[in-house]
Amino acid sequence: MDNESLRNKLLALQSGDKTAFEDIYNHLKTPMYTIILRITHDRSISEDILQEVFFKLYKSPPKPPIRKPRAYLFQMARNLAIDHVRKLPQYANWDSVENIVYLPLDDFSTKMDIDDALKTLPLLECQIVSLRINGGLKFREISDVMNIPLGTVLWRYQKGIKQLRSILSEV
Amino acid sequence: MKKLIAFIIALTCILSFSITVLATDSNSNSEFIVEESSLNDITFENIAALYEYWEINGYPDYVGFVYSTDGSTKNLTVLLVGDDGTVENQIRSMLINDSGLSFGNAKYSYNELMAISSEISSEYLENNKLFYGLSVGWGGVGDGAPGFGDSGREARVVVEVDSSIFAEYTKLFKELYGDKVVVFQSGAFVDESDIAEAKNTSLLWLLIPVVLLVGVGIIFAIRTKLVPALQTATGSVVAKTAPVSRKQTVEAVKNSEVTPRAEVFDSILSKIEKEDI
Repeated sequence: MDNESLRNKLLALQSGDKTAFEDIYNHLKTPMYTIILRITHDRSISEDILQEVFFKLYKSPPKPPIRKPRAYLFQMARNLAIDHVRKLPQYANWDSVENIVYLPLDDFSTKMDIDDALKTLPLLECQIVSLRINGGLKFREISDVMNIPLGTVLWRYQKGIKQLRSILSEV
Repeated sequence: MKKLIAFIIALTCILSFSITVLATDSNSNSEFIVEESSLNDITFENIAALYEYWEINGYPDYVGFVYSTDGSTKNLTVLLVGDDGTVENQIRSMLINDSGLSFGNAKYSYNELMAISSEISSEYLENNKLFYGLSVGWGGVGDGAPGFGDSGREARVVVEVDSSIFAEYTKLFKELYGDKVVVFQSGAFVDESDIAEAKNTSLLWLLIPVVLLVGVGIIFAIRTKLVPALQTATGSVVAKTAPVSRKQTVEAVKNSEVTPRAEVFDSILSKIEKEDI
């Protein structure tokens, strides 16, 4: 479903079309859940956040004009997931949750898989990689969603992929 | 040696990052330029301090590239664009201690390459998932590529694309940017000049068996070494030491997608019903 189709579905949802809501959910549930999971690393909490996103969407669908509906919806999900992490007591004293690394590099075992490898990335890079690859967003859209410069997005994406590549090559 | 190479790459990457951020924030290349008059009034302890200043405030247009010669920031080589010795002297005069500093020549300004990189990013990279990488610096060491130019130490805009669009974009970027842009094909280094030479050769038919043999060798290597290194969320385990390409890494991330339980949608509908929306 491209942005145009998604836009039409959102317009239909505004008119009370429940089928459109289900179509949107079925189209976005996997990439959105994956992105949330990459931020929280907790399946149960990620499902709660996914529910919250779609509940909010149903309750108050975005009003036209919706320029980048896909980016808009991923931004909702990302913000809720980041808010959740920010509230965790172990990260209360962190200046920026974006610097969180769930699995330090020197911790990984010889059986590290891609999920573990993703945990070694700082949260900022993990989000960029996931929004790009799983979410299918353009770099400029990611820049808007995360409110960081495009150059940073590009660089951190490349850095993240390089690190993942290195880990997958070495294990 | 590996550590030195790794440090150089890290250094160039950090350098790329800083400038890219400045470019994006400002939307104007003028932000890169440090006022030369103001530079003359500043004195730095050594080249490491000047390097740090450039990192924060942006590089002047006469700098082509900076790299470490020994893995530390104490010994840096600054490549200058079109300098007859004037800028070199000017930089030395800004330093209290100029030991560890050496100079070389560069054909293009780092700022110019960064501007091209930004343009490629916004015009092509964002609209095409077959673009796997974009940076300003040297080619990836893992791909066997050195630096560029006569010295083999200059920077270029390095683009990595899928093999299916390699020929198209090699041609396009050569027309648009000349040798300022070098295109990699899915991890394998190929320079535009190589392509031009290959086109001109009349002994191409002699190369065909060689290419076929090499191709078979590469396919064999990929099938026996690269494929088992992939890992997905479905449970297969990475258990073999093998190089993984960027493309395979991206695919691994893509394949690691997780679908929520079916009950999640039912819960959403139930919540909607409960609140009578």
